[in-house]
Amino acid sequence: MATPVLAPSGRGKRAGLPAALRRKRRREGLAALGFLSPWLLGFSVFFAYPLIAAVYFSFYYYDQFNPPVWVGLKNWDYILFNFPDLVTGLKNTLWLVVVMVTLQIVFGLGVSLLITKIKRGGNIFRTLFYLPYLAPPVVSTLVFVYLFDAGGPINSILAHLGVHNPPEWFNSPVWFKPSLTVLSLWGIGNTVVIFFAALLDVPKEQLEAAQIDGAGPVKRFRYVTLPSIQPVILFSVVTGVIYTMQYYTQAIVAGEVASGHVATAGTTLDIGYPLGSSLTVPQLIYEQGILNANTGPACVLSILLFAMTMLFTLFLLRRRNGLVGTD
Amino acid sequence: MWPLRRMTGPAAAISAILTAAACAGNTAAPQQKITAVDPYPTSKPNVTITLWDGFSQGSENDAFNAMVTNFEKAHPNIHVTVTGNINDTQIQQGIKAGGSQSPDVAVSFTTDDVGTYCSTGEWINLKQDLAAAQIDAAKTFPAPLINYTQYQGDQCALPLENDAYGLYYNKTLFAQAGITAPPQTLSDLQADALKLTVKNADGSFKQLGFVPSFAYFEQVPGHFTPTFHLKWQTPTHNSELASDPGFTTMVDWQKSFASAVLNQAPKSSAKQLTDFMNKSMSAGEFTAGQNPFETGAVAMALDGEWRNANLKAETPKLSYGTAPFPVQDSDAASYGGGYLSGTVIGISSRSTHQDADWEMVKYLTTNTDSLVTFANAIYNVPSTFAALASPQLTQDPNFQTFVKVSGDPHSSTTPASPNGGQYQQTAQTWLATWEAGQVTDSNLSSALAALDSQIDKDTAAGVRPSGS
Amino acid sequence: MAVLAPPATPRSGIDRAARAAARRRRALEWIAVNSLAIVAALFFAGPFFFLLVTAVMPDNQALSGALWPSHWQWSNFRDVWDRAGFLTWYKNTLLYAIPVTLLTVVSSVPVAYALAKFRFRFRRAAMILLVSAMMIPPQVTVMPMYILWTKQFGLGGTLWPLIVPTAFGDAYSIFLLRQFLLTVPREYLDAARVDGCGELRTLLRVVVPMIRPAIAAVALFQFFYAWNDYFGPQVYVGANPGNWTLALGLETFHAAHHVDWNLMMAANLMVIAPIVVVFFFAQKVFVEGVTLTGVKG
Repeated sequence: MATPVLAPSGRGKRAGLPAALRRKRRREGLAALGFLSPWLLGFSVFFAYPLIAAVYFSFYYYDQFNPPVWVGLKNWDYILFNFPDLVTGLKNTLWLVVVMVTLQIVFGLGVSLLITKIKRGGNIFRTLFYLPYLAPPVVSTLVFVYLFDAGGPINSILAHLGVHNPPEWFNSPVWFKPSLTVLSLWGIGNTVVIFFAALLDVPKEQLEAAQIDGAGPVKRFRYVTLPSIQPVILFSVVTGVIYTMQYYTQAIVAGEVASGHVATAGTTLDIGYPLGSSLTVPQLIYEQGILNANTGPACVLSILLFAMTMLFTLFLLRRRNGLVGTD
Repeated sequence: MWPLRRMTGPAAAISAILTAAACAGNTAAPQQKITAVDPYPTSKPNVTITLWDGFSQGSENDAFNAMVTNFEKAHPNIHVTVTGNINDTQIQQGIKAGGSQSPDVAVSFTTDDVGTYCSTGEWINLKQDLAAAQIDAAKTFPAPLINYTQYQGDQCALPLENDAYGLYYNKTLFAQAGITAPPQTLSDLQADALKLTVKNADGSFKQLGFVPSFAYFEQVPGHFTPTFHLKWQTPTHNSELASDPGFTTMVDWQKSFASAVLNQAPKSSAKQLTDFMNKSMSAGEFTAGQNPFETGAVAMALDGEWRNANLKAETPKLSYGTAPFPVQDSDAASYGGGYLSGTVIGISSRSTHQDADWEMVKYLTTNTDSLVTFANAIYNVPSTFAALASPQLTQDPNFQTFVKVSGDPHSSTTPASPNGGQYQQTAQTWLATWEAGQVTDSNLSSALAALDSQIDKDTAAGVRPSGS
Repeated sequence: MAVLAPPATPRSGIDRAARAAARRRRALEWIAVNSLAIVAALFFAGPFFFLLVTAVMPDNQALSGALWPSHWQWSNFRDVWDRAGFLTWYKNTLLYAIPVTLLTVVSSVPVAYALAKFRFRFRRAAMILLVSAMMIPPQVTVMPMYILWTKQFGLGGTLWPLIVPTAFGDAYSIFLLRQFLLTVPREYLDAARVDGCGELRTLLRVVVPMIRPAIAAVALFQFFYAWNDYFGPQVYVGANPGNWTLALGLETFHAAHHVDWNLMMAANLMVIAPIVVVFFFAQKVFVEGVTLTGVKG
C-alpha cells in the first residue's frame, strides 16, 4: 500500500530540474524506498492492520473461541452510553492530567534548576535522581505500595513525627491518585534531563545583562530563562498528557497489590481498586478484551484511546520545528 | 445411551440420603458400578496430559501431585504435566489461544465460572462419557454438586472435592468474654461480636469480634446466599437484586452491624474501622500465621472448611471451634446450612486426546481412596457418597461441622450464569460504595435498580447474542 | 564544607559593604540550594534505602513498622533464588530482551538513515507515520494483534509476538537514531558516495561507525524496555507461567507463595540490580539519548 506513496516524483512536476539532479533524486528515492520498505511492511502489519481490524471487530460479538457474530452498533452503544467504568476512567485520566502532569513539570523544572546550582556532589546527585526513572515500573510500584502500606515505613515515620491518623494511601479512593503522583515524581529523571539540557542552552549573555540591570533571580527566571525553555516545557506537557492517557502498569499493579486480591487461583483481578479510583482506559481494554475475552467492547475502547492519543499527537506534528522537522 | 441411567429421585429423597450419608457415616453408601468401558486402556500409545490447577500452597500441591502420581502408576502409558497456581482467567485464555501451550485438563476453584465453560464450549460435555463408563452421576455425587458442575443440562465439569462455609470462632477469646456457645442467630452474632470487640481509648480498634464488611477475605456477598436466601437472578438470568428482599435485608444488616460496632463506647470513626481492616488484612489471607483470625485480631469469621488445614499447620496452638453460620432471627429453622461450592475439573475441547483426559478425570473424581486421602490432606469435604462414607475420613469435629453443612438441606449455592461470576463481582464492587456511604437508605432501591440494569447490560455485552 | 568564594581583598568602604552584602546573599543561596538538594536526595534515595533494608529483614519484621533490620538476614536472597520460577523468569526475560535489542538495532538503523539523509517526496508523510507509531500505546493495537498471533499463528503463550515486530523497526529507536543522524553533516556522506560506495556500503562503512553512541543508546533503551515491560508479557504469556518474565513473576510473588514483604523486596532488588550496574557503566549514553529526543522511551 505504501509503494506509490514513496515512489520517486513524477516527471511533469520537476521538469525544470537539470537532468543530472533529477537522476540523483530518482536514485535517492529508490534507495530510500529500499531502506524504508521493511519498516513500511511492519507498519502496515502492526499498526495499519490492527487499526482497521479494531473497527471491524467493534461491530461483532467475538469471544475468541466461537466464530464472530455481527451485532451492529451494540458494542458502541454499550461502551459509550451504558458503561460507567469509561466515565470513571476518563475522570481519573483528567485528574492525572491536571494534577500529576502539572506537578511533574514543576518538580522536574525545580530539580533541574537545583542541579545547575549544585557545585559539589553533582555527579552523585545526578545519578540518584536518574536511577528511579530506570527502575522497572513493577518494582517501583511494589516498593511504593510497601512504603505506603498501613503498617509500612511511611506511616511508621509519620507516627514518630506525631501523626497517628495517617491517610489510607493506596487503600483510599481519595489518596490513591496522590500516592501514584508521588511515585511518578520519584521517576521524574528523564524530564529533569530534558529540562537540564534546555537550561544549559539559555543564553548566558542575556542572564548577565539582566543581572547588571538589577534583575533578581526571580525576575531573571521569569523574563529570561522561562521564555527560553518555554518550547521544551510545552513539548513536555504534550508528551506528558499523551503518556498519562496511556497510564497502565503503575495503576493496575498498585491497585491489585493494595487490594490484596492479587491474581491468585480462584480470585478475580480487582481492576480499579479502591472504588474505581485507579481505573484508566488502557486497563479497561485489558479487562474487557483479554481477561473477559469481550473483543467488541474492547475494540471500541481501543478506537477511543487511539482518537484521544492522535488528538494530542497532531499538536506535536503541526508545530514548526516539531518532531517531524528536518533540522 | 440414556437407559443406563436410572431416574433421579425427588430432591427431598436425595437430601435425605445425602444427610444420612454425611452425618452417620454408617449408612451403606450407594456403590458405583465398576467401569464398563476403559476410555484409554494401557495398550494405547503413550500420551502426555497438560493439567492446570489452582492449588498454590505447598501442602495442597503435594497432596494433589501425589494423587496424580498414583493415577500415573495405574496408567503407565499416560504421563501428566501439572502446573499449579493458575487462575480462571489463565485457564480461559489458555484454552481460547489453543496450541501447544494450552491446557488439556483444568482444575478451577471458581465454581461460578462453570456457566462460562459450558456455554462457550470451552469444556466438553461429560454426560456421554459418564454413561459409557456406567457412572450414575446421581448415585455418585450429591445433588448440589451435580447442579453446580452443569449449566442448562450440559455437564461440562465434575466436582473434585466440595467446599462448605461456616463460622470459625476463637475459643480462648470466647472464654475471656464469657461466651459459652457459638451464636446461632444474627442478633446473637452481633451481641457476641460487640462483647469481643476491644477498642483503644481514642476509638481505634485493637480487636474485632466480627468484621462487618463484604471486603473481608471470605465474607464476599455470594457466601451469604443461604443466610439471606439470596436469589441473585431470575431463571432467565436477569439480575433481580432490587426486587429481592433478601439482598436489601443483607445490606441493611451490614450497615446496622457496622454502626453498632462504631457506636460502642468509646465511639469510633468509619476510618478507624477501615484502618484496622487494612492493617490486619495487609499481610494477605494466606500468609502463614498472619490471617487476622490466626493472630487473634478477629474473633469470628465466615470461612471455608479448608481453613482448618491452614490453622492446623500454621497456628497449632490456636484454640478454635467451628459451627454453621448463624441465620436470621426469623429463620431459626434453617440453622445448619451454609454456602456450598467446590473445586471443579473439566476437559478442554481443544485437547487432542480427550479419551486419556477422561481416564484421568474419571480417576480423580471417583476413586474413593484417592478422594479421601486428598480430602484429609487439604481438609476438603469429599465430593462422592462413597468418600463421604469412608471411615478413613478425618473425624476432627471442627472438620465434621462442614461435612454436616454440606449435607444439610438448607445449604445452597449461587446460580450459574453464562457470564460466570461477573454478576457477583459487580455486586461486590457496588457493596464497597454502599459501605463507603456513597449509597444511603433513601436512594437504595433506585441504586439497586441501576445495579440490576448494569449487570444485565454487562451480561448482554459479554455473552453470545441469543439465536446465533 | 569549604567556603565557596575566595576571600576578597577589601578596597574601599562602600565596596566592602557591597561585597559583604553579596557574600551574605551567596551564603544564603548556598544554604538554600544545599538544603533543598539534601531534601531532594532524601526523596530520591529513600525508597532505595527501604528496599535495601527490608530485603534483609528477618521474616515478619517487614510491616511491623521497623525501620532497621533486627539482624541482617542475607539468606533472603538465596530463598528468592531457590523459589520455583525465579530462575525461569530471569531466563525468559533475557530470551525476550536480547533478541529484541539486536533486532531493533539491525532493523532501525537503515530506516533512520533514509529518513534523515535522503530527499524524497512524502518524507514528511513518513515522519508523520513514525511519530504516530511512537505515540500510539500498545493497548490500541493489542486486540487484533492478540487475535492474529494466537488464532492465526498459534503463538499464544509465547514471547514471539513481542519479539517478531521489532525485526521491522521500532518507531522510538528510529526516531532517536534519526535525530542523531541529522547532526551528521551531509558532506561526509556525499564524499563516501563520490568515492563510489553504494548506498548500503555507505551505510555500513560510514554511517554506522559515526552514529555508534546513538546505536548504544538505542540498544540500552530497548534492552531496558523489554526488561521492564509489563503489559506485553501480561497479554501474551500471562496465561502461561512457564514463559513468564520477571515483571510478571514479581507481582504474583506476593500471592503465589504468600511470602512476606522482605522476600518480595529481595526479589525486587535482584531485578533492579542489573539495571543499576549497567547504568553506572553507561550513564552518559542514557543522558545523551534522552536529551536527543526530548521524549522518554
